[in-house]
Amino acid sequence: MIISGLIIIVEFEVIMFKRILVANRGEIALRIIRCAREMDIETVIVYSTADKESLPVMGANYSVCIGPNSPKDSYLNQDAIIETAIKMECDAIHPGYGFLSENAEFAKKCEENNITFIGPSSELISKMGDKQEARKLMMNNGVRVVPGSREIIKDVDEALEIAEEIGYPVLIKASAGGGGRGMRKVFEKEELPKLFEMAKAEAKAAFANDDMYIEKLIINPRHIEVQILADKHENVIALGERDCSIQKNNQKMLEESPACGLSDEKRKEISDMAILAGKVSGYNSVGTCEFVLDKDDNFYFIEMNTRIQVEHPVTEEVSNVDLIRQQIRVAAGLKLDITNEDVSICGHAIEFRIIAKTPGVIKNLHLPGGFGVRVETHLYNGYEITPFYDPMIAKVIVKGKNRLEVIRRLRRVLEEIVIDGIETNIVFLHQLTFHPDFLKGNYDTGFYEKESKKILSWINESKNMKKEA
Amino acid sequence: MEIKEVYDIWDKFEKSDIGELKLEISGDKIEFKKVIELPDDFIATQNASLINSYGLNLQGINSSGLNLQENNTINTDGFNNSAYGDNSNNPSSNNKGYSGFEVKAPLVGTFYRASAPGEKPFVEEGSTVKKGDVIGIIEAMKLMNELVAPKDGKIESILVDDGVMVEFDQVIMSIK
Repeated sequence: MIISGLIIIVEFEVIMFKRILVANRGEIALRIIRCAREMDIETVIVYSTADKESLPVMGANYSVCIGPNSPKDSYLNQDAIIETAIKMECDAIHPGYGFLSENAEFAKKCEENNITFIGPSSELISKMGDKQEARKLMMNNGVRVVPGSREIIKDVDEALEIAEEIGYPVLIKASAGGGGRGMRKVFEKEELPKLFEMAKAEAKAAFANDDMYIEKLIINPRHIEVQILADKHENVIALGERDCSIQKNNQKMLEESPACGLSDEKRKEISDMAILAGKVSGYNSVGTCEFVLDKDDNFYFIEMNTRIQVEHPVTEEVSNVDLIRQQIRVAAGLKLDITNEDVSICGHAIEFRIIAKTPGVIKNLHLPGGFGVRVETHLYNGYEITPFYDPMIAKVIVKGKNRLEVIRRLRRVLEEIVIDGIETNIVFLHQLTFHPDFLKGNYDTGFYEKESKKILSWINESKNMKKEA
Repeated sequence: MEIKEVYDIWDKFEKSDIGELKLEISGDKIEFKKVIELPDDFIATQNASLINSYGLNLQGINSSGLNLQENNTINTDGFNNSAYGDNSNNPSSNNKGYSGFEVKAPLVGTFYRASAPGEKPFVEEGSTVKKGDVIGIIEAMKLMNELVAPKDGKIESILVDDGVMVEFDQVIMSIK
């Protein structure tokens, strides 16, 4: 038999990165490395001297020490990171979360050096990072925002005028702000001038920018955020919402999906609003649209986070979508392979953040497993937790058919987990799972302040009982 | 091309070390490519205690002979050092080969021994230096940073070749 004109091609071409530089540390660096490995992408991790013996450094294909312990000389050292990416021939940089992940200047440097920043463009980061501009964009396009000023407030007189219009209480916010800085709550007209000046000064010191705007202060709202995913071909999808209301000093303690007590209509409304926000901003990559829900279930857009977030696994567990993989795919220019019709949110998932209260060496580690249990951590037996970085050392993400099953499973997980050698918040989280308001899903951002004392007293009670026994 | 010929070529290709083969014979085209999915060491075998605590048994997995494509750039042995050329500086070996004061890289970049290509190196092994003398250049983001001698003495060993990338705190030279 003669075969002529035969073409057998045993491989296919995929436009994908060959090597990614991971500009982060800890559990998120490990998450990215694991995903890259599954995608046959090599990884180069940059690290500080303190992280030399860390798991991500061992797991990457290549590792390069770029500086001493202090973040500004290492994980925030833009030049050292770009230099390493160039010399190590990386086609892309994944910034993780925190550090340089929402730094438009860094994204621009990547663009200038022909390295793909795995995230939105520097322009988009600037645009959405300017909170007042983002608000205006949303306002002009039918996305509902917290009632407030349309433009930057020129002076105290204007502030007083606008506050009068909105109605007290109001929140004075820094446009370039974040992390609760440059923010002041004003309950009465008399306090406003002083607080306005204070907030302005704080903003100037923290962000070198004292542009201020004013929003209506919603007391103890629920913090509901929607995960969106967009490609570079104008496709935007939403992957459900997360309730992140339980926060201590503006730091989230836990997140869950779906949010409790939302009707299907309300859920769809919020989701559609998030997709609209993504479309009008020309978004691409993963992002989170943050909303607040007031006591009457009215929701308002606050801001967009233009990075992968700590709590992304919660959405992964209920939507069955690998968000890091998708983020890398769209960064490489591929079209989304999921549409909004394909998205299916099943069951329930809750993530608890485990925080180290002290630095130290892990003397004994046992991580829980079993059905519906996922642990994201960079810990190992003998690992030393240093004091230089974020104290979050592990995330436990539990899923199940319904919320009660998840909470029962969470209890078992927190009873099983062992992290000896340092102090953590595990006991607090465990006791939290017995709090009636938490069980009912009846909580808002005021929960921690109101209820933490009660939970701490339960812990003390049981300690005393043990002593007596 | 006869089917038997295709099988013969396929057979030879499989047994060879070649990763990719493209043939065109009288208008017929055929391409073969090997894709290997052997597990390489996920975590560097230098840290044996970590492997044990993870319960991974990595004996018997040969980290060479992976990835048979022609550009084999994945090197899982001691890749922290060999990634950019200098294999002599293995941190887990006790015999450092020098005993003097370590001159470490203060930043990440490319180390050069001379001020420009073709110029004489600033120092050689055995050169006498005074504190503050320029002994090398580390280039980063197109900026040339001078590496200076931290103390008086003689250059005992130079551990990094010209033009090689160095990481922060990497030992470049020793002074006795």
